[in-house]
Amino acid sequence: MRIVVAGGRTQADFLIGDLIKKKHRIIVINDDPAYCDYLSSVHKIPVYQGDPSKYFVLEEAGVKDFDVLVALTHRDADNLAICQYAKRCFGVKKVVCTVANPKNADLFKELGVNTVISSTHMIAQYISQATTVENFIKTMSVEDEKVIITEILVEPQYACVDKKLMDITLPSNTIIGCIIRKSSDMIVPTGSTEIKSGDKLLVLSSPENQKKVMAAIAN
Amino acid sequence: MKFERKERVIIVGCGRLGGRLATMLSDKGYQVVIIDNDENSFKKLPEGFGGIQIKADGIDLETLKYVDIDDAAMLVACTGNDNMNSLIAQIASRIFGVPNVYVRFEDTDKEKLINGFNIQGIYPFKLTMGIFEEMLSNEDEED
Repeated sequence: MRIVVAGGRTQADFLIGDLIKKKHRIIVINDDPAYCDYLSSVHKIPVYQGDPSKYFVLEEAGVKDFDVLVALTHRDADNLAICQYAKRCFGVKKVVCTVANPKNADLFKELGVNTVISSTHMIAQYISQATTVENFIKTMSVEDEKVIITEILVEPQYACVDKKLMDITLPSNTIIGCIIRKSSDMIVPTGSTEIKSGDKLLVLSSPENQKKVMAAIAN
Repeated sequence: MKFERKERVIIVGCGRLGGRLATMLSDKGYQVVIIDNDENSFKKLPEGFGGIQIKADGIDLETLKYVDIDDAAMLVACTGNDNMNSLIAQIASRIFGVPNVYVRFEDTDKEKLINGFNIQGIYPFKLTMGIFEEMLSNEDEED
């Protein structure tokens, strides 16, 4: 894919390295001349020096019809302007940005940004999930939190131990997608698979159903 | 002007333009709310200023909700930053449906961000160029 990385410092550096490894074609725009020198020497790619929230900078960098633009400046208003120019004037297919103020996440989506990343929001979400239910080792949300993947460690006293999957009643829109077992790496279960103590279950569900899932497996 | 008196006007950015505009509209009988994140900027307002001054971040949604943006008749975005002005104007017009939204842009290219929305751009650059263009066209006529 052809990707523009606009603004940012350490995150930009990391992201650029990662994207190059994955063989994407990258253009970098950054307003800090010293950081531009650093990025171009480390990553061996073209770096345009300029304020990416200016129309002519985006035009000169040649972002027209790129697949993705990622705006990483520290100012939310700048990121919105960059994304809106890219989408409205240069036909960039997907625009992504970070926001410092988590309240801007929904707002920017409403104003046309495809994906808005708020690190504060993500950290807060992670902490609240980690503290409410200790048995949920890890929770990951995908598709804007419409779907979550929960990792549950099966304790010996759980009701589901030694039961077949077909005998466990799960809430609707829920599936045990994978079982990780020490003796046999991983199992994609069928109805007749038995759950054992010490298994790690990867459960796909809606966020609302997370507690019900836990109840169905533990009680 | 097409606004009824007593209608509410929100001005974001108390620079020279924002400050003077707030004073003028307040004197004409509008309910004016002026927002700026720097307390010192309110010194530009005259002593008997009849509007409300709020020290807050004008691009924060909570601030704008606090000043009841959804029933304002007009909003003027005139902070010193074009991108902030663009964001504020879009919140006012596209999210809260404020009927009359004005935005000041130093960079005339920013027009492309608000094209097609119910937002009126004000460009000091174009106004200045207009004066010179007019002057030169008058000279041509005299020749």
